[in-house]
Amino acid sequence: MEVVKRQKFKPKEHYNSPGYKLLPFKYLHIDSTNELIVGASGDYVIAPIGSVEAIVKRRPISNEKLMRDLHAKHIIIDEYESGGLDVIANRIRTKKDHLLQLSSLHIFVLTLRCNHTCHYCQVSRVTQDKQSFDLKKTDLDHAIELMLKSPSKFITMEFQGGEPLLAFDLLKYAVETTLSLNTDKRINFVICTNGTIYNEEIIKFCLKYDILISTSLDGPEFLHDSNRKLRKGSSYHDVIAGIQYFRNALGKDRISALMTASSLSLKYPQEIINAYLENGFHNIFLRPISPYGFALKSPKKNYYETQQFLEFYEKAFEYILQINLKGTFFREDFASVILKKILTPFQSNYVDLQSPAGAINSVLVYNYDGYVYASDESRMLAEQNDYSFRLGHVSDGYKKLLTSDEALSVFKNSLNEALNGCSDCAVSDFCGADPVFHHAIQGDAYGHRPTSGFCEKNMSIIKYLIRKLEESTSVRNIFYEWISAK
Amino acid sequence: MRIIDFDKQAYKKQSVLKAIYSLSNIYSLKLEITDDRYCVFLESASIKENIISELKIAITTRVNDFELRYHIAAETKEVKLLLLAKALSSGGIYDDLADEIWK
Amino acid sequence: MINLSSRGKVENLEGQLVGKLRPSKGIKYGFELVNSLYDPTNEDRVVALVSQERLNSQLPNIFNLSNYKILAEGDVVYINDQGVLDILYRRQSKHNTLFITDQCNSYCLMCSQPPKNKDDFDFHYFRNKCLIPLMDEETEVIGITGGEPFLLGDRMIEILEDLKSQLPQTTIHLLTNGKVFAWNDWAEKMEQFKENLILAVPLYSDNFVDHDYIVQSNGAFRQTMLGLHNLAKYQIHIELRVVLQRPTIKRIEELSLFITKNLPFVESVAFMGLEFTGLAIANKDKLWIEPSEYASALKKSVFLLDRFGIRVNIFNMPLCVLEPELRDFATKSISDWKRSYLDKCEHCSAKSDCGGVFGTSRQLTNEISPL
Ligand code: SF4
Ligand code: SF4
Repeated sequence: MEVVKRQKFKPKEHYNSPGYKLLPFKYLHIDSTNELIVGASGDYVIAPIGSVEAIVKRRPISNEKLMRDLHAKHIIIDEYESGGLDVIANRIRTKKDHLLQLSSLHIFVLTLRCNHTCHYCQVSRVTQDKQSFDLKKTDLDHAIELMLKSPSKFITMEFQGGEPLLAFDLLKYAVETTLSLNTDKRINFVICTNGTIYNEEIIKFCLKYDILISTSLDGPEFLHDSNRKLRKGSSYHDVIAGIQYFRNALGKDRISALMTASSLSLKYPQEIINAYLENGFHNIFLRPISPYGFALKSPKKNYYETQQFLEFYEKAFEYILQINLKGTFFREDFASVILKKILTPFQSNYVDLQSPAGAINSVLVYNYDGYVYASDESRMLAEQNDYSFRLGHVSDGYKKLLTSDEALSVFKNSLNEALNGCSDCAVSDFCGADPVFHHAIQGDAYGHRPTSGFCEKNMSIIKYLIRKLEESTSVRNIFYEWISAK
Repeated sequence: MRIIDFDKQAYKKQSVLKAIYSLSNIYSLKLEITDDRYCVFLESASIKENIISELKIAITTRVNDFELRYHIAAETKEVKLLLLAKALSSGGIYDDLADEIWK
Repeated sequence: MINLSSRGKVENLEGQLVGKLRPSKGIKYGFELVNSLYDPTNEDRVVALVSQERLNSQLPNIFNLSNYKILAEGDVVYINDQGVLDILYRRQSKHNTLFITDQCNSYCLMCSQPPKNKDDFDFHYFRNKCLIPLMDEETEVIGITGGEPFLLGDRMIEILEDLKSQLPQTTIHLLTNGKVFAWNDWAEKMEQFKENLILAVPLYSDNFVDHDYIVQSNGAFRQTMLGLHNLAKYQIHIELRVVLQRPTIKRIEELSLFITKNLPFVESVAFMGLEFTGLAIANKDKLWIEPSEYASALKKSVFLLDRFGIRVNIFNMPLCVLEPELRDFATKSISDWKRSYLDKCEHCSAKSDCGGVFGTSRQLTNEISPL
């Protein structure tokens, strides 16, 4: 380092270097007049169409703000580039941080038995036959052992079904065994329940181990009950009563709800959100119906084009923004996942929108049948006799499971940086890869983006969110609140 | 191995060549361009029909776009590798922070 | 304003001395200057007398000092045979600093302490080496400033080591332009001090052109950015400092966004009003801007960082020129000895919470009006 001598002040031009090098970037048309330019760090610039051509061909750019933006967002770099690349490399590494947290979500399907018959349910069975639809204890032991071998320091152990609380003894055994064997991990427990089964014993247990409850609420009574059939009575009444019960006993923030949009739901965006508000929720995950299994077995009820869902989504979203602008915090969770990727340097830990795909990399599913699956959807496919993503038996051990042909086919198709269509897609950083979806829908885990519902939905929502972000400061502020709220 | 023909009249030779190069880059295809015909030799037998059709559409509708992408890909090829190499080797400075703030 | 440096008369002294002031039974208007460093076997070794008027003594005696009134027990002063007395440390103050050098490897347009070329390393090093063991162990915070302190090289590490061993409870708040940490080994050297160390690093813009122009040094932006990333590797606490001045105000929101994306690990960001002295005076036309001109941009920037989860402070801004929502972010940052208020401040209901203005500033905003 050199001491500076007293000098004459030099003008700004002296420090500018008009020449520049390109950094890897991608672009697309975000609307009819503008290009979205996204750099390797995931930072973006919006500029008039034609800007990319001017940048690439080194046509003079008189817009000083644009030039500064291009530098600040790591689209271009000055010719010396000293040090600048290290900062960008750190950004790239940070975005892929979830890779270091390999398999952090472990889903245990304790039983397929359920007391509901939802018309879109992919898996559950109404049966008393515990023998063939509950996870065997010996298999559960193996699964716990596998989970605790995961390199991740933070683990979520999620219980699913069927209705896992129908197998409460098994669930209890699973939690207690896990805690007695755990040495070095922070473990969160989640029970996914339809909210209709609860008693003091369950509450005590949840309190003791700080367990989160995740339940389902599709909207107002008529909608919820039309989607979720009980053999007798109203599921809505039961679930609302359940939510109240759990809230009182466990605390308001210990229970969350998930919605699934059936064809009928698409007509009632505002009603659904109102139902969530009325029932004291501050967030909603606007989720299209999963295209697997039973869901498409009743196509009339459940088949709709992605386009229809997107229209529903935008209507619901605008309504949600109005609510926020009026001063009530209410978050849309899918948008928050994407916004976190856009507005922070970090990766979201939502497993369905990652590259490499969440399947295996972030999730493992231990199914009631004793087999390990690449994702929740993978085990649903298995219910349709499609075993493409069954990695092996819980007794097989990590190495065998993760090097199985089934696992390799997931890995091969799970990096959107290297998938046809995604690799030159400007928003790929905010999106993900989903080989299981593409296998299920297109018959090919590699997938064809121009006709993919996954791509259509994500591309459209990402572009929409970026437009919203740029639209007004008040919306931008709401988005920041969403992503920073715990 | 697959061979695809493109309409050589469709565009001036230069742009088509670049478009094909660009696509091959994007899709990591091995290719060869012969003198008299514009061909892409797709080495892998498992290459999908849909990629081929996309190639054709791309070449006839988005030549300019692909030309730009080709430029970007060509100019940034080395720096991209360098960035990845650096990203892989450097200590993850945000890792702990990400755990704390966002997990 | 308090004058930390003064010149009086001196007797019986050759060279220079540093010592701690201690009241003396025998002297009514004066102190003994004690320093056991000069004689480790004698803790109470009196090396000189500091007094209001001349004393009849064999010991070195300095007197007729303009700042005599602010001297207090426990303060550490430097005296020399020219009659100079510099207060190096005031026990009652929260704003004590070790001054390392006047030299710098930048030449910021608005520098309040214009860099000088004179080699002053040994002079200040001597004073600091003497000062550290004399400071009170209870000292909460000690600042380190320059120039650029790390120009001192390995001796800067030595000073940090001294502080760590002698004042293990004290937080070290070190002002640096961060360029040195572009060399990773320097960042690594900070790791041993990280528990008690905060590095305050100025970042003026989100791009090299504007930043390099402000600091008048090519490549400065890249070096500082790389330096910050290297420091983050060792989890060093960092306070980023953003100065509110005309050339960079345009992109202040972009800078905030840039910080959330590229420097999310910083502990806090401080937006700082300009101290209008030193080089800033010569560059007035380029730099000066009234707070009302950037009020809305500042508000957006503060809220952006705050929402993102980075702590924000506003330094050197009187409360009355800030938008009401921003007043909670304001800190009484101006050192007590530099702090002033205007006559009209007497009628201000917020005076006790307000950090006032720089007594050193040659130009103050016209927008001050009592709340
Ligand atoms: S799926 Fe579609 S939106 Fe997502 S990265 Fe691939 S091409 Fe882009
Ligand atoms: S009038 Fe004076 S005391 Fe009051 S806020 Fe302004 S500067 Fe501070």
